Amino acid sequence: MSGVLVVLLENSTGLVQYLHLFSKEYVGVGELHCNFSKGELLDSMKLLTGKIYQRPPLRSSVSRRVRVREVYYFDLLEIKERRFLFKVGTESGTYVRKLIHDLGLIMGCSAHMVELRRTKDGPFDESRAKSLWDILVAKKLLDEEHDESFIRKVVLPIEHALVYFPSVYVKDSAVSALCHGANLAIGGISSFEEPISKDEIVAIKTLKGELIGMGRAIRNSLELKTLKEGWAIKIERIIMRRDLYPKMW
Amino acid sequence: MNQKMLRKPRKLIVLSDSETSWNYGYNPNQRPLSELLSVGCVVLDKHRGPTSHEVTSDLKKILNLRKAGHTGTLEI
Repeated sequence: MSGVLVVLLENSTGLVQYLHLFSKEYVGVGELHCNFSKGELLDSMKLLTGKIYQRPPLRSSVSRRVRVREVYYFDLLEIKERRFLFKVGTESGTYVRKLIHDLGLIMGCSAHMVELRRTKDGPFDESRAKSLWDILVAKKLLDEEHDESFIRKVVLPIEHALVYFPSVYVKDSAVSALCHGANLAIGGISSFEEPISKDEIVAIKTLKGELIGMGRAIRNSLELKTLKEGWAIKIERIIMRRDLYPKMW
Repeated sequence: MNQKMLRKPRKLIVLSDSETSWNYGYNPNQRPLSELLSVGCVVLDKHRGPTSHEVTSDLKKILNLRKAGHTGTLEI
């Protein structure tokens, strides 16, 4: 199937565990194996909106235990004979093929998914997506004409993918220590985005806005505001290279 | 943890007014290309046919990367 696929490059590959949790949106075509009315279809789609039980399909790479996933919206766009065009917004890990299969069961006949396109993955929608061909052209322009402008439209700074996480901005003096494995103390923080709850995942950034890495809050934002010392963030993953900022400890 | 498609409104709390030195580091939107490629991402419009893994591997070859990984398989 086609559509938005976010690919992380080099050092940012380590962020997969944080970025695969984003909500997705798809547009697709389903086909029912019996005649139906628009009302029947809409009623069944409504039953599959909200929190649903779903058993991952046979051909999947996860455990096939029944699990709960949320369908944020499931809209009907068009009907043509036994086929229907839909748009669905889902929690990460929802199988749309299975959703259409289950829709068939609810309607009392069977159904299958004919076509599927992912139109959104977290903050990225298809209008910003580039084809492999675009990337090939951008790379050729860079290599043969030393023109960086196209490759810069294709490769985005990793910070663009992290807008859902609260940011914690650290002082220059703390950056190198973090890159060498230290946790973040309250004294190293210059500013942060409120609210942060305890155990929430945060993006740790320099004052220039560069991502250093990801961490888990040991303190909530109220404590961060009032406490004068102590550990603030437990570092989980460092992305920035060690020698970008000088050692200051 | 589920990230919905909304960005929560957030307020910046300043604990200490600090300056950053421009002798090191970069503005994320103006990194040299080599730096951008090492901490970048590509929002790919995958075409029908190959698997998510295959297009990721093609991308890696085109850009001469050592490592690349996608954040969620597109169902076949």
